[in-house]
Amino acid sequence: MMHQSLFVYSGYRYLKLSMLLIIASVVAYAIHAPVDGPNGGTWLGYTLGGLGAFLILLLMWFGIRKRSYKSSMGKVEGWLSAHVYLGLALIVIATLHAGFQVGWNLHTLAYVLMFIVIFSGIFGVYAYLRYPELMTKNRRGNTLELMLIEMSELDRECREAASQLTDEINKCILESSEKTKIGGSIRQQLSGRPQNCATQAAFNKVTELNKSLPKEMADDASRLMTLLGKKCELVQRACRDVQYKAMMDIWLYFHVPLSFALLAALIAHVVSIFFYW
Amino acid sequence: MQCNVSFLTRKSRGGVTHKDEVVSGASIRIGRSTDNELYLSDFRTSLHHATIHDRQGRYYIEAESGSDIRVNNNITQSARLNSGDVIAVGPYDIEIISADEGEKLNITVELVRQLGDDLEQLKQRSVTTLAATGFSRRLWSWVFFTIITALFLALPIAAFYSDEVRDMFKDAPITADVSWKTGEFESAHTFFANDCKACHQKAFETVRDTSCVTCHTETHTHADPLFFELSGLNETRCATCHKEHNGRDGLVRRDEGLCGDCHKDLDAKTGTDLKNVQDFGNNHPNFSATMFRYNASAKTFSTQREALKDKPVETSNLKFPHDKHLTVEGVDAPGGNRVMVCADCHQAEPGGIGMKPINMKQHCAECHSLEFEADIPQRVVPHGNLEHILYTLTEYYGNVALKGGFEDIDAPAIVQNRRRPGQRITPRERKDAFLWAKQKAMSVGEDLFEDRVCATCHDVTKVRDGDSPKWEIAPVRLADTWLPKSRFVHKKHETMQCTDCHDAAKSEDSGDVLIPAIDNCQQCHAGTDEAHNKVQSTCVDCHGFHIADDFLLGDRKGMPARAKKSATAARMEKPSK
Repeated sequence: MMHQSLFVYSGYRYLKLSMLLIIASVVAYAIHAPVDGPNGGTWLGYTLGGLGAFLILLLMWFGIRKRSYKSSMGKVEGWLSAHVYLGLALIVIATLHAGFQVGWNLHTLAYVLMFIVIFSGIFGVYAYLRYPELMTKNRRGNTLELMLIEMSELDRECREAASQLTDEINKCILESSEKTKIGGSIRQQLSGRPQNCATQAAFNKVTELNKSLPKEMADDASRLMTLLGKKCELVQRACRDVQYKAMMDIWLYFHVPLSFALLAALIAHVVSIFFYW
Repeated sequence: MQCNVSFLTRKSRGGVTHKDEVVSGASIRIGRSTDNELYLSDFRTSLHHATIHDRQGRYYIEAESGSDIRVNNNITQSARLNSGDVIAVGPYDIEIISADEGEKLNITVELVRQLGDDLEQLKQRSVTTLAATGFSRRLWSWVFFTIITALFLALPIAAFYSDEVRDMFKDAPITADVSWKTGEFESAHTFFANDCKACHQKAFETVRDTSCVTCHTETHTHADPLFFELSGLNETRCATCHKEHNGRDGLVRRDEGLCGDCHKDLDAKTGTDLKNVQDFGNNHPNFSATMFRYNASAKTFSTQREALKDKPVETSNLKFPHDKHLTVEGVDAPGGNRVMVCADCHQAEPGGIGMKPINMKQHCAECHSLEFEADIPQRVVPHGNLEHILYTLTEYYGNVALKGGFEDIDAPAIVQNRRRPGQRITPRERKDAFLWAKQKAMSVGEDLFEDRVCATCHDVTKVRDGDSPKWEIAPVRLADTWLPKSRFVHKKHETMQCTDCHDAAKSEDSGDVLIPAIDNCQQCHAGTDEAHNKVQSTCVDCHGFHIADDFLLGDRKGMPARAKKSATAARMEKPSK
């Protein structure tokens, strides 16, 4: 299980390491009393800043390590465990490095970017703990591909069932098979609900038209409604599946690009400090 | 009517198969419903889509209501059929092979618009992953990285090296100098705060003193090289103690290390008799008072520093027993008995630092009257100059003598006799009168100087006897402060009683130095080491830095180290002040 190995990896090795770093930083910060107040320019400030910068580079290296399958530099599991725990420790280390000073400048920009990256990562951990289980339940043993195949089968059956029904009904069925779609834009994927679903519209329309159908069409109409109902349910499940997958992915769209924004801000921050030494 | 229908099916490998059929009826109905003469099964065709009629040998097609047909790509509801026409009905194309009058209608029917693969189309319509939306993490990573590097790294560096770039972006919301700023500037520096180069003159180099001295030419050197020939002291950068980017109020080092780094182990160093000091609470020598000492032969004062623990005695030449004035029973005053308090004489200066000087007329004269005749207490001699006093007395008694009627059996008759108005006196009598007046003035003066008045407070010495005697009063010099190297603000201590520090009520002699020893201060004040429940007091709370009197920072501007040394040597040759 991913979540177990992530947290307990090697007897909580990285949790312990992170706690050690946090406690050491807090104690040093409490003892240290620089004349100009706690800030990044004291010996402790430089120490914590150096440690923080090293951690950021190490955390970003995880992106490279997880792609290099042949690497023998530790297990990816271990890297992920370290990534999570050391990332959390960075909140404390960077805050103490800054001495709680903020302003409208590059330095605070780097700090804010770091926070967004870390919190998107926390959401990522949450998503990886929560959504796989929901996904499994929602799929009921299927995959999204199988759901889509089943939908297209249902479309064909619907058309057959509707072939001898009125043109109006046929038009609805045609729209249902031609316009129904799963997912869509980022917002639509995240919503988890079908947007202006043609299948739902067809179901509603057929239900309405059913009342005025001649008796000889009743059997076909009833079968059609069963099929449409089934398809509606399938569409909803497929949309939810897409939503869960999107939730598991969306944080990375903040986490990764903003990591690089942070890397740039970090480089600029370090250069600026030594440039105006 | 009858119609030959040929259903065409194209094969995927090429070639066409056809299935021929003859349909007949009053008219030929076309549609999805099985009761149509021309049955077209695709669901995109209407149940009853269109009908072909035979009207006197001519063929017409008419669309059923709600459906439409295209004849040669023109949407229409009805049309006469001619050979070669192509009629689109739903996904089918019906081609009229021959429709000549009176002839049998020949048509071909072909499903030309195949229904696509449902699954493929559904997949095409559905976007089921975020990656498929076209939002690329890699692209945005590059975009962010590039923007931030450009705005916050490249631009500030370019602006540092190029004034043109700097001017170009000077009105931009994110200017180079603002984005790198690490904190608020001291208010005096704000007018050039957005120009980093004003102080940071070279890249990757700490701020040099030359930057500070650009403006601070008139600031006195912080350690006079005449007295401090110490390596490191004058080479210490301004910024070591004056920390910029720390808020509007600025920040100057005031920690114990500022002084303690050098002063904590002075006993191990040669060339100084200063005592070790590091922390006011636990490592500070006891106070030594700087007092005036009077040299009677030279008639001058000099200062001398003595430790308070040795009970030093000051010679101010003023006799003033505090205990007699501060007695709880009170003192005799013109208005009756009065209990005196410190503030009767000691009033704070407007700034609240020290006390106003003691003044005879203001603080003493009310009780210590300078009268010389008990009958006329309002007549007093002037305070200060003995010759003026004798002159005043001579003048007074001369007037008395000339007026006559003065009751003194030893006085000549002219002084004792009361004269009638207009009665003239002889030159002889006038001479006697003045002689008496002068003698009287001398005797009263001697009494005032040596016994009754002056000697109460002053040391009076008769330096010449005879016909024209002379007295001298030792000059008085009261100390403004006994600790001139420290700064004590009385105003800040006004919640306390004077007697908490000054044990004046027990002082019998004006030679007592009435300031407390250090332990009195340490009851409330501590250094930074153990200041947990006391007033934190650093060195600079009481002491100033050793600022040079006459050596300005500007003197050193631009001088290389070697030149500085020779300048120092040159100054040492000058006579000291």
